[in-house]
Amino acid sequence: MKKGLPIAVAILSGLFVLAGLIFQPYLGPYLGLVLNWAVIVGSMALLVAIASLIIYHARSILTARKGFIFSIVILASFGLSLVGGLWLGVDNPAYLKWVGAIQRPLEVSLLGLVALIMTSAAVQVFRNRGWSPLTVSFGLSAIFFLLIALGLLQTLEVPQIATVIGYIRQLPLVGARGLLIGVAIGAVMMAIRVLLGSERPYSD
Amino acid sequence: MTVCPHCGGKNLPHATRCVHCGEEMGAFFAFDAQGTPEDENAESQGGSDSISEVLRSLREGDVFEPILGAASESPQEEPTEDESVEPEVTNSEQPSGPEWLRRIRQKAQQEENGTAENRDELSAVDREFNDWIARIREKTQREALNQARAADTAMPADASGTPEWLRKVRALNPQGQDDSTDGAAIGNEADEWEMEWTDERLRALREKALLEEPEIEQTRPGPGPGGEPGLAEEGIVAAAAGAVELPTETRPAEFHNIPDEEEPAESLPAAKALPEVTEPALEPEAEEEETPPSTEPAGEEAPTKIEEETPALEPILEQAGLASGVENLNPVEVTPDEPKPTGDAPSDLMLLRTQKDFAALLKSMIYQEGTHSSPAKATKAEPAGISRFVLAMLLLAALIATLIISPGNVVPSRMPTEAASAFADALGALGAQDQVLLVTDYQAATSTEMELLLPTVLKQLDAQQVTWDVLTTQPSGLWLTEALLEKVDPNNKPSVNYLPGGSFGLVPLANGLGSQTPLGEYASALPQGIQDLRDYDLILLACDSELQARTWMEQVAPWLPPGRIAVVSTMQTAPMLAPYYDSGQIAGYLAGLEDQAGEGAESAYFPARVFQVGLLVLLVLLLLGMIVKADQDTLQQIEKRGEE
Repeated sequence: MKKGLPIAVAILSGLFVLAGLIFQPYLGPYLGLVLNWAVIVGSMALLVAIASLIIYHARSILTARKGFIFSIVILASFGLSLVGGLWLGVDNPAYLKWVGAIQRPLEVSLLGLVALIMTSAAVQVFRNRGWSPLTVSFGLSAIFFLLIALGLLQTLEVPQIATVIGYIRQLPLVGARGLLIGVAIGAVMMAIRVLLGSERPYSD
Repeated sequence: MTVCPHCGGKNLPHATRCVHCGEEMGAFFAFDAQGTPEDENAESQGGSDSISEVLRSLREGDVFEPILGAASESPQEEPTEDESVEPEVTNSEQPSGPEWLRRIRQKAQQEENGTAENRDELSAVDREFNDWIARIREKTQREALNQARAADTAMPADASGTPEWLRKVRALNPQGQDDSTDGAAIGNEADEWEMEWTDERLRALREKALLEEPEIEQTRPGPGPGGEPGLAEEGIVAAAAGAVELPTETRPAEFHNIPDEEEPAESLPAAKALPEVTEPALEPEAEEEETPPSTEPAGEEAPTKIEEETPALEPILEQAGLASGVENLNPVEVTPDEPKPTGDAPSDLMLLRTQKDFAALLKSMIYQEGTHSSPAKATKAEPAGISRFVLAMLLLAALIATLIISPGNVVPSRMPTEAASAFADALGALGAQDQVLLVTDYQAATSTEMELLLPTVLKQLDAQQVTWDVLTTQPSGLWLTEALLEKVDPNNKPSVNYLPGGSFGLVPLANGLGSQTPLGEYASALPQGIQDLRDYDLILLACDSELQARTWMEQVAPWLPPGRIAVVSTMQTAPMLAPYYDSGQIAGYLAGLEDQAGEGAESAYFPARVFQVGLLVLLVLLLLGMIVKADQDTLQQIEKRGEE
């Protein structure tokens, strides 16, 4: 019963959504209702995650665990945002500007770090992986696309170069299409496994 | 030469029977350093000898005398069949010795009982084994003595500080040093010594010895007259010794890394190469002729002495080619025709298991002495943090320098891409009565790039008098969209609607299910008069993630007429949008700074130089990584060639 009930609910939900999309004139309103339930359950899960985060960092502060200073920063930021949103309202321009002034530099800095890490990985890929068709093709494609992105070749306005650049620009299309086809096949297979009960991601 | 005491005929020095009269020559095993039984009793009572004395006596051969004497009794005193069948009774009847000897006997007896081996059943096997061992021992003893004497004369003074006793032990068994670098081989050899003899193993040993017999006979004379076993028999013994990995002269010389000066270069190889006993090598035995005939050890004193020295002697005896069961030494020559029963091993002379372990340990230490072991690999600290720090500093320095030096807003003149042109066409086709929905679905990290593109597009919509609404699917999209609208028209900002539920909310919003639900929550996200997304003429999706773009393509696009979605995205998402544009699912897209330049947004700030310098730094670092790797590979190949 403990294992069978979640499986039955998952299979019935999946089949119902599938049937609602196919027989929309008949099952459309009920499908919307089921999707509403999903949104509510997802929101509750988000609340539970927030509560768990608060409890964890509160325990870190109370027990003076290593790095509890960061827990204080997290809880203080969360409290200020919550109080500001409740007091001023989420539509208040001053509140939105204040949140944006903090969040934007943080995320841009993180993106800059990602660029640095990607650069480091590109440098070390040959050292760690050696010379292989994969690394050589990666290096050549990276060099080509960096040169194209520089825009220096386009300023020459040579028709032959423009043709070559146009051809090279089409190469990612092939890879992306294959990637999307693979993703789609994987999603279909996963859906079938969930509907058959052989895949139970909800049991983790 | 040895003179027979019975007939006066001359015999070889190592002959145990006279070739003329056939009588036994008992003086063969009488050595110079052998004392009288009274002296031995006094030694055994006076305390234990030092290791050096034992080794010296081993080199001179008298250490075996008490052992040999125990078994070389006259034929009248040899153990009878009944005695050999019931050794426990015999042992119990022996006069009691010291207390420690009784304890050793008891322990050995317990081990025998614990293994549940029937001595009676093994007596026949042991008898055969003892015969083999007696013959092997007779030969190896002579060779060990010869080699020891040759080593004494040929070895120079040791400059490396190796003890004299160790050099002598090496001289006794130079072949044993070959495996000094292989601990596993030592362990295997030690295991073989501990291996019990079985009928199958003895049979295999005998067959191997017989197979090698003709080769040995070619190099040695046949059996001597008078029933002397002769050198052919010794060859069988040597072959058998080789089968059990005893050091014989037939084993090839192998490499070892012990300094050469420790090996008598002239004498030892010669001793190895000469299978026959040469005249100089027999000199020590010739000297032993002058000693009086050996007498039997008195009672238990001789075995007691041996037992005291057994743990230390064990590896030495093994090196000398002797089995651990030294108590079975039988100097009486054994002819192949008449197997002589030697009786069972006295239990008080059997080595305990711990003693064998100590002996194996000492043996391995002797083998490994003088060899250098490979040093432990030094773990290098990975300077990954330093390299990343250098990279970061290089990148930052280049970008900061560009920001300071470059003129700032530089818009390169480029040809717009095909997708950007299609996007412009879709935007230009809108009229005053058309409605457009702007969906903002991007993060704050990419807001700078997105805000370079969107204001231009929205201004164009305003110029075409197109009505447009704003919807966001991200909580942070509320203030991000507010910031965007500030750049378009600060005085006339439309309201921003929020759609909760993520991808769950998109499907009802696309097909109108939201308005049919009892709650009607999704309809509230849209302005009045709009039921679902199908009421808009164009949906302008601003997203920075290919995952979000794919969600829109999969959940929303199927419910809309084709070409109703246009995308404004980042440069990194552009490759994943290309298939959707190529298949006609989206009307067109703008991707990043490049397409922004194509749109001709002269009013927007576009730091093209900084962007180009960043790309140049990436390019240089990538090339440096490839060059450094190639250089390392070249150096490694050169080192490999040098090693080869």
